[in-house]
Amino acid sequence: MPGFTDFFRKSWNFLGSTGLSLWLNYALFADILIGSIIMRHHPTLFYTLKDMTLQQWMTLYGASAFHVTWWLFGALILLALFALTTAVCSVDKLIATIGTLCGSELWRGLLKLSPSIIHLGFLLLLLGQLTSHTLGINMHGNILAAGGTIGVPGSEIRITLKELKVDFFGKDTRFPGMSGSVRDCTGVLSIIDAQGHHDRVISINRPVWYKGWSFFIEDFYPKSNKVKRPPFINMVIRRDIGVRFMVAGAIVFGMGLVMYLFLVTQSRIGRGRAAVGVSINSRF
Amino acid sequence: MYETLISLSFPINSFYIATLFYVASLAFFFSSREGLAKSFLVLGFIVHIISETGGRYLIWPYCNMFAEPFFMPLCLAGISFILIIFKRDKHGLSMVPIIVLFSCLAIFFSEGYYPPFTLMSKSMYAHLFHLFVFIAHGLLVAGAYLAIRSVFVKERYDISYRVVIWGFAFLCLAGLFGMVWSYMGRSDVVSWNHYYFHSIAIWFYYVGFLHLHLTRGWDQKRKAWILLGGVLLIFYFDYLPQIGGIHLPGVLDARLYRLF
Repeated sequence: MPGFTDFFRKSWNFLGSTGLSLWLNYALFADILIGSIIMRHHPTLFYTLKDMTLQQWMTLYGASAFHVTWWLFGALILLALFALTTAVCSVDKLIATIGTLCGSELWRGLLKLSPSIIHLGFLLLLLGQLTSHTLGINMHGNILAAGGTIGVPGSEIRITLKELKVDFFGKDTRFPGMSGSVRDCTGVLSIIDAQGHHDRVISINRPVWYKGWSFFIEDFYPKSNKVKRPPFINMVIRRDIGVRFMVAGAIVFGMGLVMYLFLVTQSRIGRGRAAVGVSINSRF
Repeated sequence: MYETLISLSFPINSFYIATLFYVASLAFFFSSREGLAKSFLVLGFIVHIISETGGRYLIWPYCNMFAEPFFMPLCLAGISFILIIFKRDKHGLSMVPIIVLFSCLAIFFSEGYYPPFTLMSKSMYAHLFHLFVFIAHGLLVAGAYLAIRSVFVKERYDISYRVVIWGFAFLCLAGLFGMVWSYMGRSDVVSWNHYYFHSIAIWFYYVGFLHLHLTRGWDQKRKAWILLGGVLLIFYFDYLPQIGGIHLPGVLDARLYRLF
């Protein structure tokens, strides 16, 4: 048992070391930077990630084109390690900060916790991304014309597109050259389930949420007023549990950031960095 | 020079006037007439704000996503102005040469003052994302400039750290707005393109810098070079693709526009 405790303490200290976090951080930077350059030359291969889960993509595309996709596998492994070190660092920092809070002002003490709050937000954002891209349901290619109805697979929800309007720039538009091209695409979705009918407006950049499901316009037709055909939309239906974690992460991260900035601005210009009170005691 | 979809003569001409004021400020700065240098800097900043606001009003509700060459000198002038307000006149005025440099780059090399007419750019989050990311880049460039300047003139440069911390904060907020924008428009918080991923790489670069900054034992000189490295990354991946004539093949405009 003492052997295990010793091993656990050594492992914890290793994972919590600032040096490891920094090396992982810069390894992630290098990996993702190289990845972005590779991506520029193979955009379609990675664009398919939008339509499927990570595990589906890895099996279908990732493994077969490993010479191009290796960096994404590397980034996932590095991110997992980075998340682990961030969690350990945050717990250490939290314990150390709480220890120094006795006797100091509550507000000042809370501000000193801001780096830990930022780390927690970051971890929640990562968790949200992971669950979103592995457990999320992503259904593409749901074509709906005005009056059309489809069922949401695996649920009792049915959706009817009650209205659909594609607006075009007129001849007198203040954007020359844009006459006849699309200005907006808006529709009214009627969501039908056991609770009745619920009408919601859907458009580009304005999805509809209902009971954990979300509906997005991915594409629409026609794209020009020269085409005189009935309009339709191509809709994405999603069920994404990761979004809640991401929203929570964004709020926590934002709060921590604002608190940190407040802490930085509180210390007068001209004073050293010790005034910020969040220095790390490691040497490289 | 400017092939515009709408008449943008007002913002463009007022931008020229702002640049003239900046050049005058530079001339007075070099002739050690600080009062006049400050006055012309403030004048240039005010005219520049009018130019930027006017341009965005004309393009509204579309977001002028790749207008960073015009926005960068505005942001630098704003930082310079704030430093002067905080009685850091020497630091504030020392930025006038780079304000003039970036203004001239926008005039002589910009791709043009026009928006990409994609429906996805018609979003409040697109406006917030680009505003925050442009401000972040301005702050990070200013922070690096002040840090390197301090190394050469051999003085403490705590102010540059503060500028970089604010730049990083704006970069984080831009990332959060970008996530919301991408989710609303594409049903995914991640944009699976190189533009998104190099931005993430740059974010990690500055995360590393801030942790190094908080680590005792790193001297000013090394930190200044790391900040310069960050600026080079921003230039190569974000700024140069919006610059005409001197950009690198395959990085540029048309591809960027298609992503949105």
